[in-house]
Amino acid sequence: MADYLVRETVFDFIECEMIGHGISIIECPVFVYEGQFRSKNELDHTCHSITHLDIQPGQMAASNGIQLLRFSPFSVYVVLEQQQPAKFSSEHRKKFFDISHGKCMLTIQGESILEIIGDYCSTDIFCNRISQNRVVKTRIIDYELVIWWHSNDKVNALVDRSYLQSFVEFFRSLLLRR
Amino acid sequence: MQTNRISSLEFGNAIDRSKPLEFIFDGRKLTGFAGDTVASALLANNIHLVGRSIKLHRPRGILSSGIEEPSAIVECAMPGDGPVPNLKATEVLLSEGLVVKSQNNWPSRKFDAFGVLSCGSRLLTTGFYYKTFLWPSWGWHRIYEKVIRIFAGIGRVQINGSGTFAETADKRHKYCQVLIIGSGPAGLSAALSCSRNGIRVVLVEQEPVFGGSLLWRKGFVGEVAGNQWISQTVEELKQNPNVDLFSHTMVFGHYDHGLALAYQKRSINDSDILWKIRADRILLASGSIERPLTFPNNDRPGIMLAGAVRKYINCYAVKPGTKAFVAIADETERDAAIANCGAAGIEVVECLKPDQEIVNVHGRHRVKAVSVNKSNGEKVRYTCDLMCVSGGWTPTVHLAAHIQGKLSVDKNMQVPIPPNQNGPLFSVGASRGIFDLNSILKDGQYQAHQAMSQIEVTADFTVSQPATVESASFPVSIKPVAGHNAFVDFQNDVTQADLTQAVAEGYHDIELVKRYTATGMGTDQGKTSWVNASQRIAAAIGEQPEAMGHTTFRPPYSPVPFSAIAGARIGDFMKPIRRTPLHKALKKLNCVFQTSGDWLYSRYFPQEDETLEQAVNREVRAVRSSVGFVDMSTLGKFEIKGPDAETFLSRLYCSNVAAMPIGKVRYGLMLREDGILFDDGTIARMGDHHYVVTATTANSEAVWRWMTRLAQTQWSELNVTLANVSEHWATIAIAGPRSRDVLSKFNFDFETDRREFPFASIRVGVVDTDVPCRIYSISYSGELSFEVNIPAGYANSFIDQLVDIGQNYGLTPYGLEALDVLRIEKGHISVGREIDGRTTPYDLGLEKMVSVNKDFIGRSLLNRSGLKSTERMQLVGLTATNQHSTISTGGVLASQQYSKGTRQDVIGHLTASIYSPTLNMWIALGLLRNGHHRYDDTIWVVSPITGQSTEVRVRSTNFYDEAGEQLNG
Repeated sequence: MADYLVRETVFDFIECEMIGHGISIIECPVFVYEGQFRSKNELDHTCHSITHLDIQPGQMAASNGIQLLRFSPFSVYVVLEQQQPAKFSSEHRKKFFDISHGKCMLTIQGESILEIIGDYCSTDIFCNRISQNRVVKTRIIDYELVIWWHSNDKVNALVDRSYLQSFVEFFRSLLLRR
Repeated sequence: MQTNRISSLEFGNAIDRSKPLEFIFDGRKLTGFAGDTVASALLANNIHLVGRSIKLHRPRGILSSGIEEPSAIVECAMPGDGPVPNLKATEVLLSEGLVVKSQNNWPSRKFDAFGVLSCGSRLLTTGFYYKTFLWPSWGWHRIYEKVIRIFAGIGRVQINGSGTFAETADKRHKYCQVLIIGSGPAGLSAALSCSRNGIRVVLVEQEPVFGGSLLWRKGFVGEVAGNQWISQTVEELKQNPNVDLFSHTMVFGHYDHGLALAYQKRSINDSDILWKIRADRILLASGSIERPLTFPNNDRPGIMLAGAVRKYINCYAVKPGTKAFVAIADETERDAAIANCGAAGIEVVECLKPDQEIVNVHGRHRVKAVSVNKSNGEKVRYTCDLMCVSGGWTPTVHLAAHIQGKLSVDKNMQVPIPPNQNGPLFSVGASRGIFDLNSILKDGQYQAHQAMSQIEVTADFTVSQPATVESASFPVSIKPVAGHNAFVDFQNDVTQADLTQAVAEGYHDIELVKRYTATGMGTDQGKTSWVNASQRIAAAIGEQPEAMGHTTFRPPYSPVPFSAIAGARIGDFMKPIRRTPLHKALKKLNCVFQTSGDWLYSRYFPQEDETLEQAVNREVRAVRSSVGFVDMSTLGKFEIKGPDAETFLSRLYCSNVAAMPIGKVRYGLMLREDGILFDDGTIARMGDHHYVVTATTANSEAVWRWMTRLAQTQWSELNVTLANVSEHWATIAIAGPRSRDVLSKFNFDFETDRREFPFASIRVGVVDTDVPCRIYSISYSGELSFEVNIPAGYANSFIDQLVDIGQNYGLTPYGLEALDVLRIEKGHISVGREIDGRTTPYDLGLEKMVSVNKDFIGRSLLNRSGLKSTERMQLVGLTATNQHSTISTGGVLASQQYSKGTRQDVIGHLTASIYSPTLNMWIALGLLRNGHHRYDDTIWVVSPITGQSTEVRVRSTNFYDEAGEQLNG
């Protein structure tokens, strides 16, 4: 028996070869917090104090290993690649709910992967607003997820843990079909 | 040998002569070129007779060159693939090894034995089947139906045919600001305007190449030849990253909110695609469809639409004949057709004048001559092997009508036209009756600017709207003709005489005539027939054609394979599957999973060769005697924080929430607004203003939506925040007399003994120094039980530790089946069974859970007298009076045992029935009328399906440990 409990990811590494293009799907361990606020001003202030950036609904902001994804006036996701970044203090954490184990982050990399994803999204990710903000909560067929990107060849996705395996297998089969 | 292929390279812009292709037609090897359609390749090989008509088995040829084709319906098969029937030869692109067969003939299309039916055309008039086959009454089932099935339909479906493309067809989304349907001059002009203004454009063309009618009309755009202009324009559009171009893609449906569905055919190695296109504005540049003329024997092979002849000449380098008789309404079109024929080496033997009438066509398998009556009464016969006919052009407005419903009919052109152009769909060019090339180009620009202005893009408004140019309409012959062979609808063998007869029989509405005569009900959907039909009907009634209106246009615009609509065969990926955090660990324990909603749930854990029943009984006994564990991770878990958290929950649940000590757990019932039970769960107080509630798996999403809706809308004054943490926490219930012993072996930072951790409490802490955990001391099974909540990422590791520890205590994993048995033995309720959308807490014996001291959702309607009536169905327990009897699952409750043919007095139904390994007998829960006052009564459980009856005794629902001693351990 293991002496201590061990945190596992659902997948370690999945590679999917598409004809002429290599596409990789990697699950990255992250820490995710959800903030719910009753006033927009309060959330504006909190986001600013974490990242020193203004972030409005439909936008994302990143600073010092902290990614903020905001979809509504009153709620925001905080995504941390390490657990204790200095800017996300315990004072800040008190206002947030820890959902780190409920969400899994995937990094999907490959040539023009954003366009491929766009073919199956129920949202127009290339409209002005979203292509500028580069973050959106959407669906790929029947899977709800949050995606954000910094280039057309690398997309990050937050998927509910229970759907993760099904989503990856489905997405892989979809890529193979192309 | 392609005897009809024109060698001059001036013709054939659609084919690639460097790529010859071999194909087979009715067993005969033929050749064509890449870019050919089956129709153009057949014509190139001098084959005009392509099949037989559906009813009269008349010889039929190729009338048109596009999707409007009514006659050239064939079966095609790729090598190694199953045949596909009922394809239009004008739509199928030629490919190497393609096997094409004519349909609806035996033994061959030239010598069809059923051709004798055409001799009986006077008997087989429209609607004949409504007036025949009536006698004798037994004749229908024994004779007529079987015979008719032999003759009915065209084409045969191979049930076991393979279809690799069918299995890989894809569905994709596309979004744009302007969708342009059609790449003729109107569409390309509009696309240029939009793309140069930075608009996101999708341009869709149903043909394999862009250009539309400009490819074969060969006009000039300014000084630039049409083909060259097309190439330049397409190239410019391709260079623009905001423009998506789709060829060989047909938009077949137009729906609400700018949604259009398009079917894209791709190459042999690629799957076809169904595109769901969302556009802010749509420009319908779909052109127009040519109408045939109506005269006796107008269906003979060799009689073709004039535009189609020009297209075969210019695009496919095929001359469909050597001697042509021309009958074209529009003078300009006529001159152009004559010039085109001349350039291709086709002799024009005569042109029909407006005052002349075609009275007959000679030739059976191909036109040989035409008889014409002149105005002076002279009858002249012209020898020919080709007829170029045209009664004018009908704007293609179908997609506009999908959304806009009925369209108006233009009085002069006698064709439907789109209504006033207010968007979001704008008809452009020929699709709204503009036929002059320069006007079409201007209209493309103008409508594009209208669309752009509506989506608030700066546009140049100096472009003026061109006027609609009227197309001269040739007076269609309306005289009754002898022979009943003046066809209006070629595909369904509907003649002018049929339409006249339908009117005479009282059918005056165009929709009724359509259905009675089957006009426009073939795969061509009346594209070449219904205008002529409406004119004929109007003449017969004595109305103006514009008063007739048109039939309802519905998607699909042209037939679309089911494979495209169904999408790829993706097996288990058809719908998402949710796995619990324990899935890996449970799989190692030989779990048999089952789907429960979206979830893949642990059903049972068989050992060796156990049956389901044996495994479940073993698991239940293990929990009752020692200890077991089950995956409860699918429960909904929600955190409520804030000063008003207690108020929020107090309003939400009918149970008492007030003054709960921190660290305590209560059972909560949630009602609908009408007082009916909605869900049950637990409420745990974690801190001063911090609660965690659970919801059932089935209602988890619904409860979450309900809670968030209330918090955001109706109770927005409450200072409370909610979070759905269902996915974050894995939940493992450890149940059984030895469960506390097992729990004590873990490295928690709090005490787990009975005094420190009593029933109905929660402990929050860490395990293994830093892994957070929450443990509830609650029970669904009726045994001492602890629900351990641990972050999902640690779940599998926790199970490994648990199994290791549990070896000393006989720890047994159990699944949904055993869990159900345990809860029924204890009389606990379940969503979907006892909570069935009709029951109240009173019905289920839970009146003590309803607080009388506060207001809550559902309170006022719960107090309706009808919901408290003793005549209501109330939850009871049932045991068989004979201990060895079984109680049928799904049985109903009755006062008497089952008697076939006798009406049962049904007084209730079962909600659950199982064999109890704890009690060694069958037990059941049921809803019985006035059940709470019928304890010790004997009634019957009856199964009308099996005829089984079992006498049962009514009792309380708690079959096991009525005193609840097991719960405290």
